[in-house]
Amino acid sequence: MAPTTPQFRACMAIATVFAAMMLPNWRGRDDLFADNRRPTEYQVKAAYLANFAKFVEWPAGSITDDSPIPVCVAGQDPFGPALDAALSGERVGGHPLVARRIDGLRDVDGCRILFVSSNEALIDSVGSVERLPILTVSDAPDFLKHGGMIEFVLASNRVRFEINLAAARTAGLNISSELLRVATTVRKTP
Amino acid sequence: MKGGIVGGRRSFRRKLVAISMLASAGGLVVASLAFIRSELGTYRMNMVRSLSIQAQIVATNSVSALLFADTEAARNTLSALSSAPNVTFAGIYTATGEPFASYAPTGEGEALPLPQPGPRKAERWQFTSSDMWLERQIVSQGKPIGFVYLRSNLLEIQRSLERYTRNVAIVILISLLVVFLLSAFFQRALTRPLLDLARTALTVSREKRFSVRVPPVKSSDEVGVLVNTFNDMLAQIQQHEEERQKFVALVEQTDDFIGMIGLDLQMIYMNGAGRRMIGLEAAGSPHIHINDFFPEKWATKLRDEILPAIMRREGNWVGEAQIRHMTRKPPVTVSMNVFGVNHPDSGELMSFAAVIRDISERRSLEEQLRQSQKLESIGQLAGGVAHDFNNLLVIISGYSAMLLDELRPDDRMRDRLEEIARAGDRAAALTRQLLVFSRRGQVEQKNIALNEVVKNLQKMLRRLIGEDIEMVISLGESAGVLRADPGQMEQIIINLAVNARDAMPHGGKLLIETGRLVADEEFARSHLSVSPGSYVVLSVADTGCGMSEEVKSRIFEPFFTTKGEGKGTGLGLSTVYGIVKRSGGSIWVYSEPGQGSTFKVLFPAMEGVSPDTASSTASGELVGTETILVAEDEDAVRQYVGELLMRRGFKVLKAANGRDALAIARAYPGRIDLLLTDAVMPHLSGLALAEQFAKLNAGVPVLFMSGYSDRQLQPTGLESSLIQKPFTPIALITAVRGLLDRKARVAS
Repeated sequence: MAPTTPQFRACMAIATVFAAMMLPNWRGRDDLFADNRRPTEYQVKAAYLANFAKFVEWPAGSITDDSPIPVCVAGQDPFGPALDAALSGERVGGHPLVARRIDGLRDVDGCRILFVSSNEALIDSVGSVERLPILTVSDAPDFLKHGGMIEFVLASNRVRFEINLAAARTAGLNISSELLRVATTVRKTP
Repeated sequence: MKGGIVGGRRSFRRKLVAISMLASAGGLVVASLAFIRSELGTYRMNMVRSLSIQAQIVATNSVSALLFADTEAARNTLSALSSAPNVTFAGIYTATGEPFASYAPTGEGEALPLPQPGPRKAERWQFTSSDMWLERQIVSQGKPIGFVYLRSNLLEIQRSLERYTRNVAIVILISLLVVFLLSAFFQRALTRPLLDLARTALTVSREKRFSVRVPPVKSSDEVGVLVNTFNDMLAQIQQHEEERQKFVALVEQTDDFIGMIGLDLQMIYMNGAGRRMIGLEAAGSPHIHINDFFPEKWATKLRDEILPAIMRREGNWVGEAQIRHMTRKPPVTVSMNVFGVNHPDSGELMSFAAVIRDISERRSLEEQLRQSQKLESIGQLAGGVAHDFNNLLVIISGYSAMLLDELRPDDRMRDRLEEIARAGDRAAALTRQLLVFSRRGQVEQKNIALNEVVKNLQKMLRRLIGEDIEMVISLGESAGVLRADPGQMEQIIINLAVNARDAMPHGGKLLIETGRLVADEEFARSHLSVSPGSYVVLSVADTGCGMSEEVKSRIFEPFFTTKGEGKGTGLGLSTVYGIVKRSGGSIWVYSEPGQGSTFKVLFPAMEGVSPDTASSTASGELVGTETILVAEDEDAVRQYVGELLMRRGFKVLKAANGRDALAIARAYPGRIDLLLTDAVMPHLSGLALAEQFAKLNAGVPVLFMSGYSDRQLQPTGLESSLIQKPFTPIALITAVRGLLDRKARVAS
């Protein structure tokens, strides 16, 4: 069906646009966005943070019963209220997700997902938490090289991510193959 | 007939087989439809299940794609469906129904269809006419995040159904074939008795044979009941038919007219005898009214008296009546019994019936018998008188003759005496005729050819009837021989010819015919004293004045005459009657006034004998010298006979009775040449005398004298003859001379 390819591509493009536009609707957070307004980059990233929790298995005992799973933001918070909105109402394995803002990596105790802002110092010190059961996420370039686990990238104007599987293993985290499938790149070696 | 049976059998059997086939086909088709429907449901469920599994796989594998808006990944997931060729379209939608990714192997350019309306559930599906769709929610962490929409064509189901239907069709066909074979085989059990029944019914209705039966059926089902009932019915019909035929035979074969007349006097039924009696040829001729076969007088009587009386229930009418033949003229005398026929149930008068017997023949026979009895009694009276009268006449005539012999020729008494002698002769002639009529005269039966007798008489008859009458003689070749006295036979012919002549005073035609008649049973039945056999017929017909019934019934009575005073004795036909009866024959008269008369005389034919040669009377001189012994108890007669013989030169010995005669015969020294004896005498009869006399004088002839000729006077071994009283002198001398001469001829 080679001759129909242009139409198909156009169709897909429209579909993608629609999908992106509709994303906030999943969570019924229409009030946060004006009508038909495309979600901002960090709104998308906030939603992804919440979604990552669904594909990660923490080591036994790292998540206690009925306690919420804290999603921490270290450094300068690029999300604003978008993160709280994204986490609100989300439950993973019965656990609610809560946002926590921390100043430095010293305060990561209890965090299970850690967004590291694009701060060179912070990025360089990620190695300090590499053995903790914390899923580390950042949109800083070369985050993975620094021992980070998930790095947001922009591809074709869309928010995608890369995964460092070795780092996750080092931390004792088990990342679902489902998540690996939608990642743009998966690094299996350190 | 065969075609009809065969056609009927075919159609009936075919129908039966067709019904079995139809019923089986109907059942099979309904069952198959149910199977197919159920199978369709199964196929659908299977299809739903298989599609659901596929949707589940897609849903599971597209959670991350949805969560991370990775349409590429979603498309990859969907493209795995290429291994399921039945899926024509697959789509992933967001929770709000926004299309996310799609897969369409056959139409890539196809726009992503909007999801199905209606409330969303974990899974829902629907069949449409050409395909089906299934929608399954994509759930992540217990929350719906979108759904998978799969559409599948029904080719699989269609193919399966087609295959299934094909198999079912084959099964149906095979089943029907088996049903056909089975029903074709088992239908015989059903159809055979019915076909037998049909065949039998056909035979009965076409051939009217009620003796046939349907082969019995053992089963007690409806067919068995039908067959057995039919057979019972046939048996009853047969019984009724036999009964009916018995009555039909009885009624149709009787000689009595049995008829039925409706209340409208139209003939309802008439049996064969009835049709014959009234001359109706065709059986069952319709619209015959009683007026058609009853003379007017009787039709009126029936209509006005007899039938109303029966309607009033006054009983049967029995009596004599007359009916009319359709073509023949004279009405038939019948005895008739008329009665009413009542309805067997209601007892109401239904019709009239009559049993009619033709008694005209009986009436005729009765008349014949009456006539013959009348003539018989007259004959006896006349015979009795004539016999006694004879003896007196012998004396009167004899002495008259003697006196005449003694008187001189010129004696004045001679004329008167001759008058007495002539009267005596006439009286003798009369008594002789009376004796012939009463069948007591002497006869000499011989075999004679009738034609010869007629031929010999021809010349004399011509003279007798005169010139005014034309005489035609027609001699039948086959007339043959009869047994009678030749002289008497001549007398019959002469008397009948004279009678015919007298009936034609102004001339006419006399026809004398001879011939042969073979009387059959029917002729014999209607003619008294004629038994079946062969007869020599003499027929004498004239064209004269004819006779009335009254005259006809009396013509054979002695002294009955229609001729004028002194023109006839009235004994001619009586004599004929006597002679005919004597010869065992019979005589019939056919005559109507103005139509002439025909006399037919029937003699039993003598078969295989030749006529005797006519004996000529020896005509020598009537004198003699021989010695004659005369035995006669009547003195006057003995004296007269003695004198007579002595005058002719004979020597006479006289005896007053048999014993005296024997004594004389013994005592007489000379030769006795002849014994002349009365047949009836006291002490010793003529016959006994003759026998004892023969012992003394062997070979001497005997001449008997008798008033009767019906005694058997032919002693064996004796030369004898009989002379009947009264006799003329010439007759006596001739008889004596004849015996003596014959003896002399034999001796020499």
